[in-house]
Amino acid sequence: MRKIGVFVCHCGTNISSMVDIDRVIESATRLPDVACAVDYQFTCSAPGQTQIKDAIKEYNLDGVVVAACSPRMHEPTFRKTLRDAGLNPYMMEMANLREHTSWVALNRGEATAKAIDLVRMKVAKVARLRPLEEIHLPVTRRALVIGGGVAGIQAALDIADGGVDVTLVERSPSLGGHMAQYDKTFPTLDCASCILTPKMVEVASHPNITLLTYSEVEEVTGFVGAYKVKARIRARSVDLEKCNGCGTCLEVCPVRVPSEFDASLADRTAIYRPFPQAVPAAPAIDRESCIYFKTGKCRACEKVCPADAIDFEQENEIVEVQVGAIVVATGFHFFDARKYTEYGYGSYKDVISWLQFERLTNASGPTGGKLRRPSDGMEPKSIVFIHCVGSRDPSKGFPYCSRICCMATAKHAVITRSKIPDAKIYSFYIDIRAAGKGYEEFVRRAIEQEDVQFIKGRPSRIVQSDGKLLVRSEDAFLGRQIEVEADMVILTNGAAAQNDAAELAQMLGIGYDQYGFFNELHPKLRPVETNKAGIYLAGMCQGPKDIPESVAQASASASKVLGLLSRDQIAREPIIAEVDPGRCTGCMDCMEVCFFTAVEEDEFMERKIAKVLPGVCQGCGACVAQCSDGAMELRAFSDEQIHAEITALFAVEVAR
Amino acid sequence: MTEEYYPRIVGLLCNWCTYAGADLAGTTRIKYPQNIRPIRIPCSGRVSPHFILTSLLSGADGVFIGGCHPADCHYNEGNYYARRRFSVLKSFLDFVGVEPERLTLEWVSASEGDRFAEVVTAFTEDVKALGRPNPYSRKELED
Amino acid sequence: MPRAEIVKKVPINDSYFLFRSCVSSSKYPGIETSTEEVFARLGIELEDSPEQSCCGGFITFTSLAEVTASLPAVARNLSIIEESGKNALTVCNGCHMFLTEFGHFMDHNPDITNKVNEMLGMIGREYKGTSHVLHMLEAVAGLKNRIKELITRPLKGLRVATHYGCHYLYGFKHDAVDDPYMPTVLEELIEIAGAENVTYPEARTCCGSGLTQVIIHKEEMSLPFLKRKLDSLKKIEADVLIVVCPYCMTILDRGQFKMEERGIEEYGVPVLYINQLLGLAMGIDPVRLGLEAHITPVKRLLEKLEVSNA
Repeated sequence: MRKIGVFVCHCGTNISSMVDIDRVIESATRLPDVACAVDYQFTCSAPGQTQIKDAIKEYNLDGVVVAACSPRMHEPTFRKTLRDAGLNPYMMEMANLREHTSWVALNRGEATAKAIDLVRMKVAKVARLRPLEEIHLPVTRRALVIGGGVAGIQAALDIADGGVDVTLVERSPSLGGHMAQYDKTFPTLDCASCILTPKMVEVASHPNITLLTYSEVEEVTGFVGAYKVKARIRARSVDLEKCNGCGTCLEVCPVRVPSEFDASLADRTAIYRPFPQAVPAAPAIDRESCIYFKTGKCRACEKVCPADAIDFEQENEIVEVQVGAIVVATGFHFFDARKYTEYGYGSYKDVISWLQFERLTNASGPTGGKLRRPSDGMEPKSIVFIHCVGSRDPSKGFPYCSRICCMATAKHAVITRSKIPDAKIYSFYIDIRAAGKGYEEFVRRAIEQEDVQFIKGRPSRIVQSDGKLLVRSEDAFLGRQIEVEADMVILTNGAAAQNDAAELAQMLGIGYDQYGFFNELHPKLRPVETNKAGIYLAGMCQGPKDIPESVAQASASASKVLGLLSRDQIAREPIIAEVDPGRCTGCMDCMEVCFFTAVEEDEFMERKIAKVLPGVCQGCGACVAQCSDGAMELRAFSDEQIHAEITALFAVEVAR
Repeated sequence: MTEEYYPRIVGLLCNWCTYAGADLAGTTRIKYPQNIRPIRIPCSGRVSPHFILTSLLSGADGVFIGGCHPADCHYNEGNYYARRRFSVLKSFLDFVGVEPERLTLEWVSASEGDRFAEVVTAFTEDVKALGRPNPYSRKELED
Repeated sequence: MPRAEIVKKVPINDSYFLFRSCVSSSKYPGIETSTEEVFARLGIELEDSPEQSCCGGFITFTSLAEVTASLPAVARNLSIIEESGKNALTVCNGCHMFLTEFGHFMDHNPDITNKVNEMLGMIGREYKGTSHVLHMLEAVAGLKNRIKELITRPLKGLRVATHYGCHYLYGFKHDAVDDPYMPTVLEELIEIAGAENVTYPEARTCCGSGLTQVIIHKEEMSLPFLKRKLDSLKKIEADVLIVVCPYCMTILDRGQFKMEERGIEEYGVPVLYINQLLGLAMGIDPVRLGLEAHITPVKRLLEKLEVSNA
């Protein structure tokens, strides 16, 4: 006979307002195996935990049922309580009386009946639990950072400064991400590249960082502490060791294609460096537009290279890295404003995107920082900004707010004012969202000091007439239609998840939402962890956020990585599958269904049987359901334990 | 039978998606019928067919299995195994005379608290609409 | 979805149910006669029914009753279409919007549909939701390759401008054959007819008809819309303006006369329905195309095409 303690939590009134606690206690007391059943206001509080510890000693308990909130919330808390009291932490189960009962029940009777059933089921399960010991695994003290934008850079630097080796994988030929394309940052108007490029250089020269640019992660296997990563380094056709970054090759290349970095406002060559401060400085040959790769003739760059660094024969290379932890910082892309055909982006030359505007005002951009409209190079005297293009619009874009656009537009308006003092500047918005340090003040500055007209209204159409852009909108405050004549219109297109975000999430085994943003483990309390231990998030890939938030999240991820990798070993939950060698017939069906290749062949009394690798098994139980001999069991979720829960539910007729 | 038919439903919910979705339904205070008794399992792939049989024989009027959406399984493929095993068992139970309305396999993600409440409500209604307890429970069989 | 793919999905049949429109029947008979002529040449049969009434939009347009009051009328018409077992063609943006959107509404609100069917039951009818209603523009877009073969008199040198109408631009989001905010399907058909497309800034804005409805009837608010549109059109010196809706045609065609009569501005740009233009390009007699009923004179247009309106 077991001696089980049942501890029922009121959770203030969260549970007790819908569940008759006395009846739960009374019913639990009558169950066999139950040595004591008590309640408390907040079982998770220090006195609540003391109540459990005291009862364990007093009744010499060998199992505990905590009837409180979801085990996804407090299971670790109460496991620790048991450990502190000298009881094996896995001799505990939680009955979910809050999330699954009191908060969702329509009436007290139903809630109480359910609570009584859930406690009875858990008592039956606890009576069949066995003590388990944690599994200790060695840790690889190296981290992988995916993405070389500002978040990835910050995470890599923080981890490397903590003394841990980092491999940083960036898809494009240079570090920098979107931030490198921006002109200034809000609300301080710091020059974006002035604050970013020193960090890029630091990454490249850091002794603890291995930088792989023009590379992509192809495969990730393993688990926390021991991930195996395959990365593909695309053939750059330029030898990184030999190239001294002189740029002579860029001058002779005859090819011109639209520059991704300049948002198609300028051209680049086939052998190219996205921008002058690129890190690494060595260019890459874009084989799709290179004449040599298309026709077998040219090689102009090779002829002029003083370092003999051009290598047309270079091939893609696969490298394998072992890492203990991974930071995902893959960023975002801008919503495609062409979907708003009524604004004419893509057909009217002077309707441009936010990113194009950044390039137009950037001193290293196609106009050398002079604000000129693309169609005829004229200095625009009337400029319209339109907020929320693709954001807060479920009909054509996304329902969410992209968070950065209001501030970016205020910044653009202020920059415009400094470049063209006599310009008329209009900004069409739905709501101004300026929550951040110094943000509201910055918007006020744009309105009050920089004479930017903010108009509440969503333009319905832009009409091009006689070289002018007529922006038609309602003015929601005046309650009437207005028309603004503009020389140039900037669409503030929102942020969207990367197109291949879902693919990456599936490769890593992490969650993502309906838009493709990666899911954090808990929205409030675990904002940088994912559902996969040892994989963390930083920056826009998790959801729209500005630069300071991205950087803060990157540093948070880095500290998580450093914490994890500061130990020689990490403890893993012992909830894994195990084989009963006496029953196993060696059919190896379990091996077939194991996604993690955690099952191996073994020998037992001169016959073949299956064996589970404790470090690899993730504890899903697919093999257990597959086993036709009942030889495979999942600890803490064994057939016996789950059967006990099911039969206990129907063991007693309960009044309703 | 004088007692009103109050169906009892066993819920086998995967820890990562449906159990968490049910938690979210609670956190957002969405109400739904309380006939379901959730049992937490690591993955819908853990559902051995005999869990369903045991439930029915013990007296369950319905069995609800919840897993992650296709391609979102925390263990990558567990939900696919669940789907295959479930469809085979369901056609077998149909053959022996258990109404198909008594069994369901639903995909509910951790972010779909409202959907959890919706599918549980719909399933409870379906089981209720059958109008009589599961005839294959041991108790009914013995009577 | 790209237009080419949507156009491929347009059901092409040997016969359609022709849903007649009050405005075209009473004001511009040429819209329907040109449709009959063009489809006869395409070898496609058009069936109609004397049972058919106004689509039901009138009740809404005139604000005589709640929007839902139109439902029984819409449902009755749809039941007539269902009876024919054919896909229906409408010549009017309004008819198309009412029949498709209200049908969509009823398909998604079974309670209301039951009520509507109770009423229809009194006259021995039932709405089942099995019909498919096509706008004329969708149909001719789907038939463009067959139309191309029938062009005997390409409209060389004719400068053609277009107007789609609000209910085409904003009303058909569920099943538009084109991007409802920036459609170009009409331009493609004009090219097939051998004419030259000319565009004007206000091509895709409203004609102003929304403000001329019986109850609102604010002509002083409506006319500036019309003027803005016509001013913009005048500048490009188009020979003809093509529309796909009889109501837009009424406003744009008669509005020019109104402007002239009040001494505001003279325009003189004839307004034709797409099938009337296609008819001219197929060599159909202008009389059969009903061009005489147009208020803004078509004489100059026909002279340019060297066709007599005898």
